[in-house]
Amino acid sequence: MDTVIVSSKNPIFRFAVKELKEKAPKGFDFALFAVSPNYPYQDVPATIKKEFGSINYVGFSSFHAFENIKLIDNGIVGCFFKFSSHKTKVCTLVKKRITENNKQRCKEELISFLSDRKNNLNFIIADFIDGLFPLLIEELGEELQQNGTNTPLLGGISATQIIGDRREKSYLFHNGDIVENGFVVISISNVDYAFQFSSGVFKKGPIYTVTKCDDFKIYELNDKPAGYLPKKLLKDINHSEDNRFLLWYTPFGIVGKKNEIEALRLIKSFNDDYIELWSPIKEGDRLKLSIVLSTELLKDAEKTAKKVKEQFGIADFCLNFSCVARAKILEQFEEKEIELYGRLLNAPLFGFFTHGEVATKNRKLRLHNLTSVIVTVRERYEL
Amino acid sequence: MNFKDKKLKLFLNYIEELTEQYEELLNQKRELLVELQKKALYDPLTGLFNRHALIEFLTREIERIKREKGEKLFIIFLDLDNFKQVNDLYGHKKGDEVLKEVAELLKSHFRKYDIVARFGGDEFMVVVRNSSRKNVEEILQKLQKRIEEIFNRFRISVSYGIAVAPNDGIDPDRLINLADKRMYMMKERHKAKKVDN
Repeated sequence: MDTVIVSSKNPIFRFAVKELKEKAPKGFDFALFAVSPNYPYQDVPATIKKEFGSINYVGFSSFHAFENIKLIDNGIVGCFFKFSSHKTKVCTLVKKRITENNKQRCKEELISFLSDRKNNLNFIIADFIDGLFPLLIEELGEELQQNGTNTPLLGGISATQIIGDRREKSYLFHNGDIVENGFVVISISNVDYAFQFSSGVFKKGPIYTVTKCDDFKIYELNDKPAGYLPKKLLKDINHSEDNRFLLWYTPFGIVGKKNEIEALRLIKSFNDDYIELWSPIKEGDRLKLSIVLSTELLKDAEKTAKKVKEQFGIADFCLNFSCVARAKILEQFEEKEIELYGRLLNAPLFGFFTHGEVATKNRKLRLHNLTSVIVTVRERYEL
Repeated sequence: MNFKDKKLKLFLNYIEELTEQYEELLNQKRELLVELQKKALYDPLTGLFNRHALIEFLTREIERIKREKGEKLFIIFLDLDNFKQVNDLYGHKKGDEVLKEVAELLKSHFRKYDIVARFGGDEFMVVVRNSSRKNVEEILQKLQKRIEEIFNRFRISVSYGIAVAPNDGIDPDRLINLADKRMYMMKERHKAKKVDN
């Protein structure tokens, strides 16, 4: 598999795509596009078609994307694949306009799609869909675990700007079509892959039990109104919108039976009555209030990259999706993380920031926050 | 306040919460430990030490007198006479009340540092330190008299047997068995006296 990753930061989308076309390899089989939400989304399919013709691609909104070890903001990053074997194929499942009413059907179609492609690399990119997608993933994880199906699914929620506790809408693009309120699953056959998680949060911390909650909102922790906790953490700091980002430094970890962290959760907003999270929570969940430092994030990222390299060896291509909160916490070290991924994995790297990472941990598919997921991929060559 | 200061403040607030939560957890653990200790050492009905605690204390005391030569331990086994009839005629609730009252009498007749325990059913044991046989006998006779007065309508009395360490040995089981045997002899004498009357 040959993978070429190129970018353009031209503010005029038409010129940016033109520039990408000039840099792109000839005769590629499949492409991924990370498109800045600052470009007019309505023009994306037509512009790509004008420059590239009818190609097989998936695009998505992303205000930051990685072109190898370069962080590209307000631009477009294209990742072009040329497969060596005719056995390597890409097929997609596209679901759009997902609502509360058709969510169950979408989930069933997704389960069926995955169970037919157990040996493929299955990658999902989605919109937040006002919280429907996080709920769908958590429910899917429960169902797959109950059925004993262990088909890995990796991916994330495409990231747009967050203004206050509101997140701007993101769009997906598939072969000339705009996918609104939906998701796209890309399934690649005839490849080997490995993936690892990196979080870097401190493993110690006080544990609380969620005694009253509703999807994303925690009303009671240890039978006490939950609102006290973020207020206490922000004591003597005013509660302005900007300062609420500070709470990303103190994430909650959902802990398992042995007190190990299964998934991280970030605080989105709070008031006297509740704490609202970016990902779902259930009554009875035990939450460890943790803490995170940029240096620890980097250390863990390095450890994880080394682990995946050791586990997998030489890769044709690497994929990385990291939580936007991670970028915020890394501050000036934001580019350092992808730089060390590129250096240690020694392969073309395509990646982007997410508002929730989809991955299987401890044999359970979940939506995570504040993590960085590294995937290394290699095409199976014919002898 | 700049961002660095805010972050520092947040971390300090986090540590404060962490400390409070751990203190609460530690308090809960302490309370649990006290409760467990209580359950492990005490008889829930009478509040006296239980059989397990008595054997533990007795073993330790024997070790002590082995080191401090010349000191004696009095191991007293007590059993209520006719107690079964209280349960049969008046019910277990009444029986429990009698046992609680006997426990109080035992505690009030012996000193605070003597070990008073419920051995099981209507059997009690006392381990007396730093005393003489004469004193112990006097206390037991007073106690016997008081029990007979209070529970006259139930015709309850008490039989007892005394073993003395190190004179009768230094093995806790042997001492308990000996006191039990001597208590039984007194019980037999009480029965015979009753038949004569």
